[in-house]
Amino acid sequence: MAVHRRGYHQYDGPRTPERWRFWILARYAFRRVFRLRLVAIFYVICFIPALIASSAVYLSHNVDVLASLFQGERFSDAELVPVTAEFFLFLMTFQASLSVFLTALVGPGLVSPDLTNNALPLYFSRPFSRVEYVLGKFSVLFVLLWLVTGAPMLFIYLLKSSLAGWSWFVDNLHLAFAIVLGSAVWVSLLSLVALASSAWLRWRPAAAGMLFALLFFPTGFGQAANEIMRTGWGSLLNAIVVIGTVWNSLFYIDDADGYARAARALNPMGRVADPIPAWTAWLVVGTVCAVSLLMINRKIRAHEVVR
Amino acid sequence: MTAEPNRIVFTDVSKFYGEVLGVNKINLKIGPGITSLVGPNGSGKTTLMNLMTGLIRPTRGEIEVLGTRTDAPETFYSMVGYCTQFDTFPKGVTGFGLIYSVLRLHGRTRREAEEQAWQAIEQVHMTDAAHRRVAAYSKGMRQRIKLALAVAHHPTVLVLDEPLNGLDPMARAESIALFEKLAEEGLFVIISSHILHEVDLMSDCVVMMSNGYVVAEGDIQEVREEMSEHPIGIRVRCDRPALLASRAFSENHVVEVRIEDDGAGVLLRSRSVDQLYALVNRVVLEEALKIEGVTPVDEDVHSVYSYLIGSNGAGRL
Repeated sequence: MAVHRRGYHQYDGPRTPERWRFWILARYAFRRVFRLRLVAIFYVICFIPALIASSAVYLSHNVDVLASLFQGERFSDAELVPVTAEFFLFLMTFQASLSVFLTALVGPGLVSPDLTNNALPLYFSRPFSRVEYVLGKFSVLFVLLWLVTGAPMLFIYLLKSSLAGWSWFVDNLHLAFAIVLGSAVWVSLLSLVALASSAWLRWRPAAAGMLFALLFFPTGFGQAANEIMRTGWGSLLNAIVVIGTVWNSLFYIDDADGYARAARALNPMGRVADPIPAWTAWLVVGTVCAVSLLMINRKIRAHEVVR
Repeated sequence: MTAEPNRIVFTDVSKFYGEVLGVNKINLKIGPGITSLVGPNGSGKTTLMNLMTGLIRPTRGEIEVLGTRTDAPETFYSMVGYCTQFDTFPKGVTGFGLIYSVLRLHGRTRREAEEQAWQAIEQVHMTDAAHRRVAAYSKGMRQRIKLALAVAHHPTVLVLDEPLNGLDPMARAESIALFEKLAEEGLFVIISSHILHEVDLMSDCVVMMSNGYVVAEGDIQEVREEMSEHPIGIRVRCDRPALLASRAFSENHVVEVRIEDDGAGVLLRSRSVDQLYALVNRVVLEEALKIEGVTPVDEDVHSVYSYLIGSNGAGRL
């Protein structure tokens, strides 16, 4: 029988709050993500359209600056760049397209290396739950993507408010709401799909390919269904139309017009299918998010069963 | 189940992976000191460790570690340190970075995490390599950094899955010394190992597993004594082994007597260990034998393992 002297004491000092521990994971991931030069360069590029747009908004309120730049030219008093719902919708579509490529660069490297290196028990044998793990990884993509989608547009909204005055700010508050919620919905959708791809496909290029496939293969099926069956419901498989419809509903843009624009952008020569109701688009977004979460839940386990 | 604050308690625990048996009907109480889990591959050692550390939940039964259940992660994981069998490192991480970030997950402030990370690294003699990438470490270094990871947050229960694998003899000796030191200080050190002579050297208690069942548990001598179908043997080195052999033959409990090849010792096997030692004592006193040494021949983990589990891993208790 061993005699134990009990000279050892378990740590009983103070601890940092539990609710922000997921951020530890995100912080390390950010550092790793920006170590890749390609990601860093592309990330900077993502801000260029928003920078051009904000410059245009600024210049449209400072015609004298334009006049000094282009001496001899005459500029009308009308607003050069009307900052409306359509302006933000156009910019959001552009930024969202860039965010898909950014997701393809960053997303596959988030979960798959942990699964490949069997690193999950390392996290889960600590006071760190699966939910916190997913939240930590999700927050990496969410923050990165929101900074190139929602944040620049919100900046433009505030810039315009500062130039146009308080009344513009108040009158267009719904635009700010649409920017925040619209970009959050898109970024969440993209992040969850990317995490699910990364969890299921451990080879990074395959996970990136899967992301594009999930976005564009159903679109093809949907288009075919619309053409063959002369219906509009196939558009529920079209990611661009679905998210476009969601954004239209948030920006209070007439559904039919917004839908037609999105459909023409996708297929300029084809028939413009019937629009889909906004609630069905919201339902599709919710379903895709739920399915992605289920897929993540299936793969993020503390141990691996070797059969 | 009553909470036992000084024991790790398994009550009727079973774990099935679909139709595959992990462990079945485990009733176990583990106290402080070094407890070794011994068994062939697939016997359920890692499953038992995963259950103990809350990485998987039992299909049936309950587990309490020092009175705490696994569904209270903040309290539970401050008590438990786990060193996994396989290398589980995020890509590109350094030894120090790994321990530091895990300590942050344990809720340490930056300063505390740094201090405790260095303490743990020094404990396993990895200071010089701390800022190198784990991927560039040798197998032995990875084992040591895993050990540092398990002890860094000052847990009370250390669960170490094959911690001696890949270590050179020097590192093994150092690791065993560290386990013994931690056990002496009152920690619960649970080790799974295939290296039976090392298990024998360091364990206070042994849990033998086969096919998902616990086939024996406790102090190895006690386990051995309970195996009545395998007579216990002792080797007596003395000046007149033939005399001792002849006296032993007259006893009913003695089942085997063999003079050793060099003629300077005798191997005795008996169904009763007490009677066997009493016989040797009596003969020594009556015949004034000069004894050089008396050693048990199969009271070690290896013998018990081979009797209970055998080379094919089938439990036979």
